[in-house]
Amino acid sequence: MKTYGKTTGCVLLTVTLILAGTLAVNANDINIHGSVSQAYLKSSAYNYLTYTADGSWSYSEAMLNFSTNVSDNLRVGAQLLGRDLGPSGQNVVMIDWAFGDYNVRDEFGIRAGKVKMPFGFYNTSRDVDMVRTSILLPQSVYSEGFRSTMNAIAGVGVYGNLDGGASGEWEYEAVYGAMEFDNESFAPAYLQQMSGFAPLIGEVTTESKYAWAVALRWNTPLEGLRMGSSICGLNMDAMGKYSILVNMGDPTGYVNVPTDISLTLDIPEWWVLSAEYSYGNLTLAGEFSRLFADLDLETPMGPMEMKDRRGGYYGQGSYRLNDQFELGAYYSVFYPNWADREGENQTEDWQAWQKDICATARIDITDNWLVKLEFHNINGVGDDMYFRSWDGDVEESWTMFGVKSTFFF
Amino acid sequence: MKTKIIAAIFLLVISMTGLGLETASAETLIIVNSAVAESAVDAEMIQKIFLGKTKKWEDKTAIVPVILDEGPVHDAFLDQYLNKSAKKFSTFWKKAVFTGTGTPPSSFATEAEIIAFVASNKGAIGYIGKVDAAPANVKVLVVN
Repeated sequence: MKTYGKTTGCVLLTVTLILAGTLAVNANDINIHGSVSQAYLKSSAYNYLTYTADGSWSYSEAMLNFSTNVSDNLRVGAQLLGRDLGPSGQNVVMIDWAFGDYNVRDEFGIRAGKVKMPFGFYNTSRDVDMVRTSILLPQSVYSEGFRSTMNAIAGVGVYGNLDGGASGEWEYEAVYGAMEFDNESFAPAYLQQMSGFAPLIGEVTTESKYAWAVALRWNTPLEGLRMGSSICGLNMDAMGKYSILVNMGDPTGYVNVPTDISLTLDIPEWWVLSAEYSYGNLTLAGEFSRLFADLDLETPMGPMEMKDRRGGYYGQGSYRLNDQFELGAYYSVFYPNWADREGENQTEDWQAWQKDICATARIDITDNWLVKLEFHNINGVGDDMYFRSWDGDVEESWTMFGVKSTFFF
Repeated sequence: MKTKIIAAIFLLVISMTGLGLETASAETLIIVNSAVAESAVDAEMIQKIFLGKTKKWEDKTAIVPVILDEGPVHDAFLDQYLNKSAKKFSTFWKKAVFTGTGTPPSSFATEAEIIAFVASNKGAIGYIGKVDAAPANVKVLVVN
């Protein structure tokens, strides 16, 4: 499944300009950084995110970025990313971000190109394994299934830092444009969910009409405490085909017939509230997020309207023991339907949530190599859009173990 | 059983860690290129400069911060002005690099290299360990 839209051209143009810009400066002035990660996940039940029940190595990331200061005000850069997580990504190299950044003054700058989406405190760095303790970010707010959709917006953005005097410092960022979708975006997942028993076949094409995001972060007068809020919205169309069985009459019997299904997705409001406190080697954080999405589907059975009202929150803490070791833990709660948090409309109530207790040990073996060990104790299967096929027994509580190695420079 | 194995791994990790966290005790001097107009700044500005939030001097000259790779003077500077450990400072810039929002300061192995760079680059700012006689070819900035 591939996605092509107007935004692709904008990104390609930006990259061309960036390359032209980087070639115009001395090669010594170009900063090059990269990382390579490989993980292994094993769950006691279910295939979550990838095929974890039998243990899966299908979780890897590779990044390479280039940036340079063209002038005192202008900086350009681009990052290539290939990732794999079960059926998602497949290590296809994509432009993760690519933009020019013109800093007018500390209080105001402009970015144009494919810009990381400012959502919560950690969305922009969700692929940067070496800047956090855990392998997986709390899935209640940073769903891996939404990763490619939430990654970046191709368009124009503004940002700046405002000195609030005694009230601290304020940082703002806003981006408007369109999203780039790939085969791991939630559009195919929604379509698959809507088509029910019938398998999707062929490609799913998506077209992002618009997307926007606004983030405000407050570095409070209390040293180490910052708070923030971010909100985003988008509108997109998706078209796919699924195969349905049609009775052609005797003696032909049932045959598979490709059938179109289209989806218009409107997310007027998707927000997150964030807080983080850092004191010495201790860091505490918590975030709360809600999504309000309206889906209009056109199917052979007629039009359908659906609403997605998911939400979740988490609290986490991490402590660096010394230069080599860091420990962390979080408790993450996700509800696919915020109005049914007790599971009254589910066959089993635990289908209405996913509650994850996670503990991680991070070991910095050298300045350029780290290893993480992670354990999840999970109750419920609420994040069901990202469970892969599973023919074992269903269980309310299950566990998942992960180990991940990252090299970086 | 699996839970016990995981718990054992965590205990092993903790037992390997040791408890000693180095504390910074060295004193530092902030030095700037002789052409920089400022003679004194506040500590908050030092913090903003080395975190990439303030990019220009008053006369609009670009600020060029430089740092030491590591060591007690580096640790003392980060502790005194940025309230960060070397690890946190490094993590801050890694995040900026891999999200495209910033370029970290150039780093040098020795104080002599810092002095030489600051002396020869307009708008440069760095730090060295406290000495009785400041280097003649750079300006020592008073930090309020």
